[in-house]
Amino acid sequence: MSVNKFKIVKTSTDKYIDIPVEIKWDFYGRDDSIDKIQEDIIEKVIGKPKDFELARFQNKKYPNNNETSVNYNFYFYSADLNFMNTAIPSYWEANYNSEGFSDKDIYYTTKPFQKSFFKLDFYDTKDGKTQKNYFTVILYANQSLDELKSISTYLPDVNISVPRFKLDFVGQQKEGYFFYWLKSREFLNIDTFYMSAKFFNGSTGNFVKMLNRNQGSNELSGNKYGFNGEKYFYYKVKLDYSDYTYQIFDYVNGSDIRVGYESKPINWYEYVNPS
Amino acid sequence: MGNENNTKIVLSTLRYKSSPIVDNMVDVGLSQTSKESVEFDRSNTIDLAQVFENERQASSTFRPVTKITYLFKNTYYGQTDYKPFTENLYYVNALTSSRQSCSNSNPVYWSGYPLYNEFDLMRTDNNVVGYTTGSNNHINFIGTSASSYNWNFFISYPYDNINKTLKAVEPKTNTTLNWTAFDGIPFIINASTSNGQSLITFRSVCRHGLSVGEFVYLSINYNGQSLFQVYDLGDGDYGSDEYVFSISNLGYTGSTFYDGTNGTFKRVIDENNYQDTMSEYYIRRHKIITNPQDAMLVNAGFELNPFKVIKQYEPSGLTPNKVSRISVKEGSQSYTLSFSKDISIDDLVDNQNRPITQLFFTFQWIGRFGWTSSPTYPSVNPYIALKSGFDFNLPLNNGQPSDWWDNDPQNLTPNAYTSIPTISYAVNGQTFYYNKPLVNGDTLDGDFCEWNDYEYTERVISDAYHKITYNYEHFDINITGQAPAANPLGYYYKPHNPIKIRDFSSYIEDGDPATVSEIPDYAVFSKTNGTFIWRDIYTYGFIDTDGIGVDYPFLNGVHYPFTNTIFRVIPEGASTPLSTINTVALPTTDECE
Repeated sequence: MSVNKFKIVKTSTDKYIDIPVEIKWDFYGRDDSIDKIQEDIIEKVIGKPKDFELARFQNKKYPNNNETSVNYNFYFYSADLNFMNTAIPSYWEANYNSEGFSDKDIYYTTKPFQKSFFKLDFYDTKDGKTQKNYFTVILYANQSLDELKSISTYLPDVNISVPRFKLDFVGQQKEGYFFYWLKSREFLNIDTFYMSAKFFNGSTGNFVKMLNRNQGSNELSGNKYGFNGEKYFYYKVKLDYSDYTYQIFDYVNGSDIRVGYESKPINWYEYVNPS
Repeated sequence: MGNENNTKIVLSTLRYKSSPIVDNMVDVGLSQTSKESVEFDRSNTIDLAQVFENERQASSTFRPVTKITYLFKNTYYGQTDYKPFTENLYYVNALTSSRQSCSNSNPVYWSGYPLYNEFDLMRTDNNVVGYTTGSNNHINFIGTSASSYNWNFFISYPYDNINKTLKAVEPKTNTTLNWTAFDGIPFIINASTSNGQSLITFRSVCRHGLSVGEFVYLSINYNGQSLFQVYDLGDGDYGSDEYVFSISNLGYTGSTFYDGTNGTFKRVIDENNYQDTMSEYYIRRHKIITNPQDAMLVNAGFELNPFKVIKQYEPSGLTPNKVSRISVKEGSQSYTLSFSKDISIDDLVDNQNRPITQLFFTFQWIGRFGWTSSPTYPSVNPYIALKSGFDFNLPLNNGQPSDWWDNDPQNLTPNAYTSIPTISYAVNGQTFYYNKPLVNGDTLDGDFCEWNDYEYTERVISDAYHKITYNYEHFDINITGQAPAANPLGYYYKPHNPIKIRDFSSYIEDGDPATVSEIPDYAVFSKTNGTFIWRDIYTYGFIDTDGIGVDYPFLNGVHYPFTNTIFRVIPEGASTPLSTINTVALPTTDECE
């Protein structure tokens, strides 16, 4: 807006001054812009379609052999709690007896045994205060491997479930082998999880936490209860989105060591609380 | 009027097919280029249904899924002296062979059917000692390969049309017809009469697609005339309407229409514009757009095919390795196939340069365990074992497979081979072959098709098939002791199985670009009509009164088309031992016995 210089001289007649209020911009296209903004805002309000599709991740083939299975071994504390101070690794045994299930309970698949299961939880961090449990895998006790045992002196040996799992792409033990996680990383970009394990006892209604080392091991024998939980309660699980596979690592000693194959299974040991 | 240059006035009758005559009115808008913008005073109603619809129509990404009902009849039994194979048969002569092995007579041949695992879509024999595990085993089984040892699964789409030399035997006259796909459909002439009317009858080996009153353009001519009107269909036999047609014999002289004359014809709709309304014929070529590891095959929950599992107990005393087991000859598991890779059709056009409206689940026989893919013929490098033909090559000729499939170098039909080379491997001192898995970007020939611009329609004349034959060096189905057949019996399967992702309209649109806006770029110009013609593509979720259209789930911003696929592996013949057939004995006294 330009302003001219006006000189006002007093006269007996009225004077009028035209003040030009010139507008130099126009509104052309403003409507379109407003419509576009409106569309953008609506899109922000209601959101774009998000891809919540799940992908199936399978265990990556181990290097140097053709093995694809994932092997879990679970060990329960079998000795008297009074002996915990002097506990040695052999006190943790791979059977369900110390959880209160007799071989007959297992062989005849009693309801409490049938309802017992291991729960593998997958967290985004190993920090118990801030972590989120994103997904869970359930392994039923009666899905585990069998061993020949005698349940009667009058009968031949029979197959009894022991807490060992050999999960693979084919065969009877497929349940729990695949991890199902978001296909798109747009929504939650996580490729490393920390896996913890618990055993839910269908007989007592209790659950026990599991450790990746037993409390009688050399690493924990000096500090059976005050150890670093971030280190011993988890295994690390890495997802590879390029081929939809996962790998499980033991990271206790500072470096990631692949575990899960038959000769190096994923071991879980019952955590015994201080009595 | 700000938009005066963009206004086209289309005559109402030219806007759509069968559109009514209506008055047109043009609103002359006194539009402003600006309007008052009141702050905080914009409101908009969000219609979620409309938002969903907009997102659905805008998406071009697909996650196709199919449930596969797998039908396989294990038909050929044979014999082998390769130990891992011998120990994994469904025996038919177990008693005889075990007696022979006790008496130390050599050689002892264990005969039987290969187990169902050799053809199943997903192998489950991951833990068979001496075969898939243990010492001297045939293959170290890798669990993740269970669904890719026998078959591979892909998504493909037809992207090109090619010519190919074809061959078939016309069954009624037993005449071999040779032609090329671009030439049309082959015929052989047979004179006939109908209700006193003298006819010239043309027999074909594939469905001609003709109607009475239409025309055929023959590769032969009578005094320069090649265009004749179809007078009649069929020869009175059941189903012959699709394969036989006749023209009136108006007293043609000479040898043009002699019995036994053969040639090819093309379908013509309008004799006055025969070049414009004549069909084109070609082989549809597919492009593979996924890799083998993209396919995810899982057991279909609670779904079995209607046939029972056939299995038998093999007692330890009647097996060569003295280990008892249950052998399965035929199974009934159904499967679900999906892909980890999303399929985007943005940049894809089909073999007629139209937007993609169908994808294909393409199956490839791999045969990684080496029971199939005989190495003898042809002696070309790389050696190709997997053959390709059409459904007119399937019927047996005099009890033998059609010459199309012949392995004899003297009778080879080069076009009967796929482009898939074999890969060999040696184990236990023997060499085995399997077919190299296809990968993204590979091509594979498909069906024999007809296209007509005037109708704007593609028709599959004959489905493509692949043929699997046993490697006679490791499994000989010719157990009479004769030399291996140059043209052995085998199994057929259909490699390309369609899934519809969109549909073209049942009506044909036409329009002149001078008067009709938005003519799609895939329209073709019809000289007969003097306009462009095309079929609209229906929107997702719309199904017309004829049932044409698609409506399948849309979520996650992606389409989830689904179809059921019946995947048949068809035996060409049978080698059922007579002892296993229960027959009713003929009466010895009288028919009342």
